[in-house]
Amino acid sequence: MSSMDEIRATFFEECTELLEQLEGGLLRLEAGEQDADTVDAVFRAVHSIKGGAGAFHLTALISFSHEFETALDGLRSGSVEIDAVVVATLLRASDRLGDLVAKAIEGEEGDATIPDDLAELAARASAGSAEEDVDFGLADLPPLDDAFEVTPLDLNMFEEDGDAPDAPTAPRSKAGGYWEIQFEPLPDLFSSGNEPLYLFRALHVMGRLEPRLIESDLPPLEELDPSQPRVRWIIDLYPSAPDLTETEIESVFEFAQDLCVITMTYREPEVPDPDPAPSAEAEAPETPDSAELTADPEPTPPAPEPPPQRPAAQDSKPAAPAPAGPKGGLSATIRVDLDRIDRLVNLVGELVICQAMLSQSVLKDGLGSNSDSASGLDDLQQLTRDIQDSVMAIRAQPVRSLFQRMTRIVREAAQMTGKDVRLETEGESTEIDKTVVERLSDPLTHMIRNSIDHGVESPADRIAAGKPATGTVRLSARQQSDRVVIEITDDGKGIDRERVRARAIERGLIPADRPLEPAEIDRLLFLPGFSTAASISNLSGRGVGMDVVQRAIRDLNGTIATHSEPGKGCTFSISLPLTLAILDGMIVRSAQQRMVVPLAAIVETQTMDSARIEPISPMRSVVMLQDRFVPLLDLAEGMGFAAPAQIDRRADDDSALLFVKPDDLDAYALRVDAIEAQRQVVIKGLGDSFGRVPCVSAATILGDGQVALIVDPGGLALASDAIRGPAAFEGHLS
Amino acid sequence: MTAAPLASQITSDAPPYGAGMELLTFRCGGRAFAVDIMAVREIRSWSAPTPLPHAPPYMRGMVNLRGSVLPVMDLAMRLGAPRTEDNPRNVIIVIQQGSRVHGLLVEAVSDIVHPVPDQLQDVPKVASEDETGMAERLFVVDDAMVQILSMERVLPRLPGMAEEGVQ
Repeated sequence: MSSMDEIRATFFEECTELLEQLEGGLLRLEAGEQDADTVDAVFRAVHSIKGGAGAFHLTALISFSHEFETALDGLRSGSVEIDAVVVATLLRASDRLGDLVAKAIEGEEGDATIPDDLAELAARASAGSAEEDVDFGLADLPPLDDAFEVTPLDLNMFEEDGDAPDAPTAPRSKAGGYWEIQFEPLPDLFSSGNEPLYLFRALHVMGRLEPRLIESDLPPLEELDPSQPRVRWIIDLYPSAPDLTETEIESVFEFAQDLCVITMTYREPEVPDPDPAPSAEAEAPETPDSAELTADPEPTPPAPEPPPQRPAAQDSKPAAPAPAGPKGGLSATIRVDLDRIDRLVNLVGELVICQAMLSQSVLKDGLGSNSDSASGLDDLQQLTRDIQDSVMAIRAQPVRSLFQRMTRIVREAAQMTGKDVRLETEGESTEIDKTVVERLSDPLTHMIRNSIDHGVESPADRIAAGKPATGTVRLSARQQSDRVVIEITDDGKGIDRERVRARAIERGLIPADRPLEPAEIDRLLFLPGFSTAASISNLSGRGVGMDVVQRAIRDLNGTIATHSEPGKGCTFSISLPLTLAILDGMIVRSAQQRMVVPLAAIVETQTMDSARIEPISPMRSVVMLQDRFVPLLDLAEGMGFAAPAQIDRRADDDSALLFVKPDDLDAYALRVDAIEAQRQVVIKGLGDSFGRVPCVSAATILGDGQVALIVDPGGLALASDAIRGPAAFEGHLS
Repeated sequence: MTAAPLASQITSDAPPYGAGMELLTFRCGGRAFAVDIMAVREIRSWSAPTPLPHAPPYMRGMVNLRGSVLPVMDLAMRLGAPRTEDNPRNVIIVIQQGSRVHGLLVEAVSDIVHPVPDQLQDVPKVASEDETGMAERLFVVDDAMVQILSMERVLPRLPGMAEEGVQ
């Protein structure tokens, strides 16, 4: 049943989005945006999850979301006041719902126990407005033998497709008359694959429906022949257009003409009820009515249409589109398989390479830069770049969803540690490559947990320190030229450097007598073996190694930096490339090989003449960088392409020094035979065929078609015994 | 390594090994080898590979295969023979195994042959060394012997590879 699996997969995909909408909406409620739209959006998200869960018989999910929905309905109807306690309950419920969805994705039934606070809320909600259950008339059936249990179907007629017209929940004015349609399906209707629901839906377009099941002719269960349709309905259709003709109604049944028996009668209006004010009616809880078709009331757009002519013809236009999608307007979107986009990204990569190759051969063939070919190539280059940007923009995603997920982490971590912590976010609309967003989730989770666990103090300590009892963790994102910087800041006590140092000594990571600068101590946090991750489960999130975080960030070509002030708090900033597909690099030559050094890691370049190089051992030298001597390494040697040799000054060649600063290590100098160019290169991963290659982060293809390696300066430093830079790493390396 | 585990993989309802098989034969380190042509994606002319740092010596590096990066292995070295000399007449056989695509650097391709079952022999058990362990069958015509290589064994194992290179 692969097609079923596909539908299932799509459902879960939607669930993820719905959960995000849910959480986003709840957070808006928490922030005080308590308008009807937000409540509706939240309700809709839970409702849709419930609907889908019903289709796949995910019972735990159904029962939980049902209760959740009931509680939310109370918010909608106004029977439950929205306050901080309620929102907190709902947020916890949304976490639980997320867990249940995650379980369902793994094919397990989660624990559907309703938390007391949610149950209480739901009870308040249903007390306030008697719940309207789903209703196809089935609810009125006489009780059947207990051997036959009727599962109430959430038929939910008019919203399943999203594009179905919204149920016009106009006041129940009978003015203008209605059509009474008796509908009796014949066996052939079902055997030919027709579905009465669709007919109902089609009718619904014409106006409000009140279907009633004719239950009198239902046989006892033992006489029931499942192949014979025995249900009939009487449908009262209150047309939205007063001039609705019989022919128009008949046209609905056109394809089912010989498959069912239809009788239609036009009923004159009854004595009109005194009309309640229409706007009040739209907001107020719906009157419970077993025959009401709008069983799960879809949110009605407040005043969707200009007021109708007469109060008697109240029904708003049925064709008004359902207010689908999250708050903030509709944007036309399509769902595209990520593979297709990746293929496009790859092709654009080829295009960039091909264009570069073409430019080179045009120059090589002696066509001047004024020639038509050359200027045409310039245009091509511009276009290529535009296409590249556009394609990258397709993959780009705002970090909002990622940040939203963190609110839960904060809640949980705060609860676990008994601290009072608030999460502030900023720059949620900053966009970054989808893969980066996905792969940031774990590192961010760890870092936030660490901040709360180790950074933020207990409320008592905070008050003693003259701080507000509630700690704050700030998560911000911003774009800085072609990188995105994400910062996690807490207003806690900062890194306890004495403890960190003592811990590192205890673990044998640094010699006990070594004096360390504050920044060096901060870096100890990132050492493998510093944390106690091995002994404590990942789940608890305590003490998860920052080395793991750093590894993950480095895998994304990102860097991480720490800034801590004792007593004031600590900031971790992560700098990431906008895309994983393109890299700004410096193309250098060393031992006849061309290699690419990421521009982000280069602090400075110097020619050999101007550099101040001092030998410190027969094979090793250091070089001055901004008043400090840093180790000097030959690139080819570091990569294992050349034997170690003393680097000296040879003024007659093009040799140059690149000063590189890997994020967590000290700067060092790389000697290269020549700097060839600085340009964007397309990143070609080695992972598929190679696994991890030391000193290399990826490869690229240069303009002449040659493969060039992209150097990983951090890996190079760690692999090289020429660099004994940071004291902190000695113990680790030896 | 012997052919025994392989023989057990061949279930009774599968066609006998070699039935309808086409082999690409080639020379490498002065000896003759063959691979199942179904594993061959294409044959490329020589281009200088970009070496990989800290890789096993038989990994010659990477070449550009129409925009993707193709790792190239010196088959002779992989089989324990000396390094294949750089020569523009060398060819790279592009092998596809599952999702992995690898290039095998060899001296020259020779022929495409359709062996009949009689011409196929199991690898004798005497061979226990790594080098001969790469063959899954022998293809014998007259007195000439061609080793049919098992790509599974020739291609380095993935997770261990990088570490192997470091040591």
